[in-house]
Amino acid sequence: MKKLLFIGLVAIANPALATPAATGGFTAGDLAAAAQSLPNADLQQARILMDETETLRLAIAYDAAAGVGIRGSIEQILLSDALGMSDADSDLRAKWFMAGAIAQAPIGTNTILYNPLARGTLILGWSKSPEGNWQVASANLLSNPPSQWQQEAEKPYLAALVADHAANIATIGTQSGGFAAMEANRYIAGMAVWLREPSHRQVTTEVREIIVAGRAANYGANAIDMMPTNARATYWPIATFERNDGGHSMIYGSALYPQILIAADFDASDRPKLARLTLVNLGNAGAAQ
Amino acid sequence: MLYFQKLNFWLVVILCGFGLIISSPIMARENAAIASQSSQSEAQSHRRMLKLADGESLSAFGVEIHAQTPTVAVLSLSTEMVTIAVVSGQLAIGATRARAGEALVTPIDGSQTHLFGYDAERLAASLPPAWAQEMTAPLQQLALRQKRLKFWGLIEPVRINATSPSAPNVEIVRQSYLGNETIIGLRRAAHGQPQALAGLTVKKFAESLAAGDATSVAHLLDPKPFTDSGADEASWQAARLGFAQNLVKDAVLRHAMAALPDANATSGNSFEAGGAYRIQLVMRDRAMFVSAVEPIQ
Repeated sequence: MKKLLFIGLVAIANPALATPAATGGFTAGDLAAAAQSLPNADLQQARILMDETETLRLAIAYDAAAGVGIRGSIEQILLSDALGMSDADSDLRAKWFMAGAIAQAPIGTNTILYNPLARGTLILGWSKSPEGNWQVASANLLSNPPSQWQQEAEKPYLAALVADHAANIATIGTQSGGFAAMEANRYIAGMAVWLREPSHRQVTTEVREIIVAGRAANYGANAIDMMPTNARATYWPIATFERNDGGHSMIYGSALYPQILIAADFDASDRPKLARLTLVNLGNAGAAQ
Repeated sequence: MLYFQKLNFWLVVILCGFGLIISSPIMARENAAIASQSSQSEAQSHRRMLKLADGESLSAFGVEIHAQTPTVAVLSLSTEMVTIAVVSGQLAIGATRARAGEALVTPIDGSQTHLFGYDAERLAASLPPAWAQEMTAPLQQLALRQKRLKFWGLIEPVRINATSPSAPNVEIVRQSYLGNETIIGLRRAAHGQPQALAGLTVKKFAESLAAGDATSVAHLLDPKPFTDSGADEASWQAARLGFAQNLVKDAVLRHAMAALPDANATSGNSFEAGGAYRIQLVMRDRAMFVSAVEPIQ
């Protein structure tokens, strides 16, 4: 007994022999609380700015000219300049870009929208007006050089698209928006050319009906049918391209769910038949990388 | 005058040792929002004048610079690259040499140094008055030469802005948490490998905490809650440092961190330190930060 008491006293006296219990540390919540204690800090700011950005994005995706037109005069100039809006064609491009743009985590008072097909990033800087309203104070469209994910030989095009998205969401393009505009034009023009053929128009409409009606399981995509009916109804064709095997693929996108795409693969026959439907959640793929 | 964003190098790519290609730089949009966030002193901290004697060496941001003649140069740091623009003389990084009018550009996540030309006129226009005496005359000479080469079509601009790789207003915010020695050192050491970066970051955090180095600990704390707060940079940096100082005061935590974390023991970006704490990392803008250190139950 005396021996045990002695060992205990030695352990208390010598910190090297004692194993202190783990205490303290911090959580992500503790960091947020420390930030909240800052003077004039508004932890809701990031959320407010993301909401402002989403409102603006949807407004432009719905009607580009009107979406920009409801902003203040300086904001209109900045947005039109960044998105290259000058006529009906460029308005269509802006609409297409914004409909497919995915919101990224804001950096300070800057919000970021990334379009994975155009590979362009729109960076909106926000400032508060004297009345306390948030306004667009700067708008820059940056691009990455065009990629060939559609034609990549080593993996299927959807895997290449997911990999390309995952690699690029964390980066902000280093070049001016010319490439993104060019890519957007390429997809819009490509789709217009493909849809000129009546049989192509018909099959495109049929595929949309399959998606909306919840019959995608017949084409290997149960996940599409599990989406709410109202959500499925928001999907429209946004891009088409020729695969390596000669068949065409069409991407259906929704302005409400830009991170979720539906890919329809057609065979290479003159009157294309739907071979497969696939649901792609770019958001999950990016997080998993 | 905003030196940080004014330093728009027109980078000139050497083509087969004969001609030069120059293209237009990304023009910085100057607006009130940027002006309110930037300041001359802030910008100056990311640029340094180098005056090196013949044979003198210098290490900066993980880059070893060797002067091969008496050299005057401008060293500038952005969130993505370390750039050394030679104004007069000649220097080298590894086997890559640069003479007056040329710049050595080393990506922070990369190991290879690239040789470019830069727009001497723009650099001259962006110089602080204190540097003008030594730099204005050689830069004016270089600018004249570049004008002639451009006229004859031997050089044209490329679309690279060495000091502001992304939009200037975003760059100013990114610089606030990426532009310190701790983060740059880790990114340079990891050579763009995310797994290596995670291991190095957690090791550096544990070592800094064990050593009571509050400044380095602060640099490694996740900046997002602070930048999202909307507070000005000085305030949130002070708050983050204060948070780190409190961590450093915790003797139990420091004791546990002295046992280096086992980088292979846990999955993803979660690491264990001393068997008592779990360190959680988060990736922001190609750098890793610590978002939580929690006791293992």
